[in-house]
Amino acid sequence: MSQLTVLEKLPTIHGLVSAGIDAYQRQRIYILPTRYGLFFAGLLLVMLTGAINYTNSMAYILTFLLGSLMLVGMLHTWQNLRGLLISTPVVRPVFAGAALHLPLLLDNRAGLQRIALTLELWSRRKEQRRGSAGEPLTINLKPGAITQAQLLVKTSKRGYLRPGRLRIRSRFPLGLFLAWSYLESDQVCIIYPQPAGSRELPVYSEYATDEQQGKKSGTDDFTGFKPYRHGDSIRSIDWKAFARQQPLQVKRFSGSGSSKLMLSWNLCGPGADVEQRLSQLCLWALHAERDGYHYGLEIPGGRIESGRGEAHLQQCLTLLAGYGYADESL
Amino acid sequence: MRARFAAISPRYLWLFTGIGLAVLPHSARIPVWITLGFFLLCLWKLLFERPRPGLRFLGRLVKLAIAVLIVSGTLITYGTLVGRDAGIALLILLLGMKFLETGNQRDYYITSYIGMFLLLTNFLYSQSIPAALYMFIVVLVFVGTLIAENDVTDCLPVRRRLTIAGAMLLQALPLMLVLFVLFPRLPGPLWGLPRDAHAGRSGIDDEMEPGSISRLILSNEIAFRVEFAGMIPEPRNRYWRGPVLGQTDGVKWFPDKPRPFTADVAVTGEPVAYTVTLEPTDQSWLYGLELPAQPPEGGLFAADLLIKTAAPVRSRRRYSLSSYTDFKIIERGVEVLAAARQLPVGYHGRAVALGQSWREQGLNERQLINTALRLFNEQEFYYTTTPPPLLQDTVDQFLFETRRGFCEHYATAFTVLMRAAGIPARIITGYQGGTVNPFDGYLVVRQRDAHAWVEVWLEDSGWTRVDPTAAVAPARILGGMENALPEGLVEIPLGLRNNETALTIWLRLRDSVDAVNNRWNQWILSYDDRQQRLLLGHLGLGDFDLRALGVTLVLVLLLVFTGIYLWLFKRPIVHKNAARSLYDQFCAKLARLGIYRAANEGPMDFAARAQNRRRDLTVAINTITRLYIDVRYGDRVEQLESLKRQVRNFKPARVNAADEALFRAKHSGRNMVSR
Repeated sequence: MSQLTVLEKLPTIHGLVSAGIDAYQRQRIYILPTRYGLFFAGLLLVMLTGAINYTNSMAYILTFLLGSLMLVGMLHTWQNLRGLLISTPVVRPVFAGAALHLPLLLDNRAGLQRIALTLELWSRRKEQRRGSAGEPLTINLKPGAITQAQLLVKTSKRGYLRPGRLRIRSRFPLGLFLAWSYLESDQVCIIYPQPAGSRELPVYSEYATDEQQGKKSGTDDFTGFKPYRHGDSIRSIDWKAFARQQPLQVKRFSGSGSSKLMLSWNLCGPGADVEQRLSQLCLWALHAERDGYHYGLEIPGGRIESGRGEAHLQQCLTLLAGYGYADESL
Repeated sequence: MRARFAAISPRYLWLFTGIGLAVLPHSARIPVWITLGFFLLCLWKLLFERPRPGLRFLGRLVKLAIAVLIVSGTLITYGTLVGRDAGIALLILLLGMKFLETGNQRDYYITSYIGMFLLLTNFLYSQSIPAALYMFIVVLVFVGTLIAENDVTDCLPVRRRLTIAGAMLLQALPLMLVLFVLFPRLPGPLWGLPRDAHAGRSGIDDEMEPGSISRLILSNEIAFRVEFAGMIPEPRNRYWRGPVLGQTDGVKWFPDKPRPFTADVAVTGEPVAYTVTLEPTDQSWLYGLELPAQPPEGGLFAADLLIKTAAPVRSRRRYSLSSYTDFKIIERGVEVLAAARQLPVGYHGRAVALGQSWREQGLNERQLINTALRLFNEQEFYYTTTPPPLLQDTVDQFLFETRRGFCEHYATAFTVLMRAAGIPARIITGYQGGTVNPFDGYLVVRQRDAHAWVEVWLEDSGWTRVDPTAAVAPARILGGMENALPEGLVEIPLGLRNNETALTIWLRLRDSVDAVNNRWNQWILSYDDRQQRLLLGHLGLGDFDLRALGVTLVLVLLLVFTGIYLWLFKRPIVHKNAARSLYDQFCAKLARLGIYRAANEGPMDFAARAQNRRRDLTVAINTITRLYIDVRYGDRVEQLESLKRQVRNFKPARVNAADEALFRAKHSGRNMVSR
């Protein structure tokens, strides 16, 4: 069974959105004795010397038994990692300062019980590892099952975060050997700016027309249904129809009654630096969405026309997150 | 208290079990306070350690105090810290202390490693089969101990940890065997062993006084085993020659000083070929049936025809000999004969007077010997393992007062009488007799077969064996110890002595156990560099050098290792086989109803046909068939459990007599159902 087919099956089993499964390639497994393994080898040497010195057959047998156990243990440690498929669904963006949940799907359908696997972010540079961005995660896997796990990654600044290299390691069962493998990911996680700022939502902006300045009204004109798309506000779903077991439908309203506003870089005040402006715009966008406004976004290097809904909000926040990352592309 | 135990980390319980089991066999040999001290240290840890943030469990001063107590206690008990016994005692106490202060992972590992080493030291005392089995149990616990440490989320129950440990142990066994057979054996020791390394072995000494042989009579320990190429000689010819004692100080008898070879040996008849497996004696001589034609490899004849070795026999030793039971030792050394007439001045006055009086009667040599033997035979002399203590002159008191003695009493008294009468005489110690094990045909000679007899020098026949014990207790020589001393069979349980059948069964059981032990000794325990060379020669590896052996070892190891790897590698698809065997069970249950699956019938076709026969079982048959196909061909491993459950619960009743009859008819013809 090729790896690809396994991954195609994944969503159907767990009901995940089929988009953007990012698979780690199966990697080489490295294995080396730990320092306890080296101690153990030293102990065996001492025991062997004793056996030779006393010409004691049972001492030989014990020494050889422990030595063989060490070899078998090595095989078990290696087996603990072998044949494990790991994939990461697309990461949900988070706001800077919050923990990023890096989801992992550990596909153990071809394996036995795996004990004490530790996953951690593993930067190539040692100094970066020391101030490691996340806590290692230790999990056990049931045989023949797919397990979901989340690796928490600390975020500090907005922008794009590349988890890059993950390391999976295990010393089980004897701790005499450490087996590990690296998992490379080219996934890019989006970190929104931290929502912050002291200014009120600029409802009365210079861009707003008279018509647009009016308060939002709850009596928009109903114009019809459209099929649900990812990102549509759940408030506009026709739940009654859904309860009649019809597919998800979204009610459409004419936007004439909605208030529209344009969130602009220049509204943030003259004294603010770049990050403060981004935080302020982020906060505004959240509030605007919460309060039902139609809103647009305008920052140097990007402009989003007026709109509303979950997808629109994400588009705005992504634009804010990517400010200054001109060369990066998603 | 229960709450306290519940709070103990399971890791420490594992570790404690491991090291406790490693210490246990030593506890019979070491002073009680050491065992107690060890377990107290362990209990202290288990009961009183509480995690206190920022504080160590033990202060540095407390540790220092314990260390001082341990070292000084060992010094006082043993007078030293080095050597086998003192070293092990010290190690046990230090292990307890290490366990007490175990805090982090490093301590945990070191403690378990010391425990494993301690397990090894047990083999310096006993390498028996029970000791070996015990070792496997303790190793199993130690593997579980390491698993407990590495199962960081504590997700495995105790049983599962033991199962994993057991599986690993089984996988390690083939590798262990390869290493045992092929790992190049070096002749040990590499350096000097501690002086007490082989202490505590019982056996014949090279000096003798009253009581030194009779103390062996209570020992059922095996001295050596003999494998004869042909017929086993009769009991009366089974004299196993040991040290020859020609010197005495009036109480003890000693061997002669080393002197040039002055004896000639003439032999007649057919030689008897045999191989001896000698238990370690810590003495530098070998036993041979009187009289070996040639010393074995690694041995030399001393002037008194004892086979001497260069170094004490400290491990079990195999050697081949061929002996002539019909032999003649002619002595050419005049001064040797003169020395063999010497008696210490001021001892054995009455015995010497008696011997001289016989001489003055003008008796010739043979008449003198017979007179002495008749004395033992016709007067009130008794053969006993519990002679009364001899507090005065040992020979005089025995000859004229107590008249109860063991072979060394008779041999000593006879030698003194002969020397007093002017006949050269000397005492030979060794073993006499032995019993044949009916299971493997080996002759087993035990410590209680220890014996002392006499050689007198006669003009015409040279050094001639005379066994004065035979004059008192002929059964001892003809039938072995068991016949001579019914009350001396200490190893037979009291209840069995009067029950003929039970006694026979008991004796046969003992023989079979001994045969197993003998195999163990022959194949496992005496496997050394010599045996390895022999075995590889048999395997056609011929004259190997160390490098060739090393290469062979690595190759075979790789092969076995690959085998284990492939076995592990194959395991993930085990569910397919499991599904198959469950489905087979299902088919067998249907076959009991007379519904047989044809060899060429697929599961679906069979299910359809079976349903037609038994409409009432439609649901069950369909469920099981679908599950089977899912697991076996659809890789739906997760369904295996429900398949198992369904098959187990599938208990169709037999409904009509026709089915029953068909089932019977089929089964009377053949027992196997084709699938």
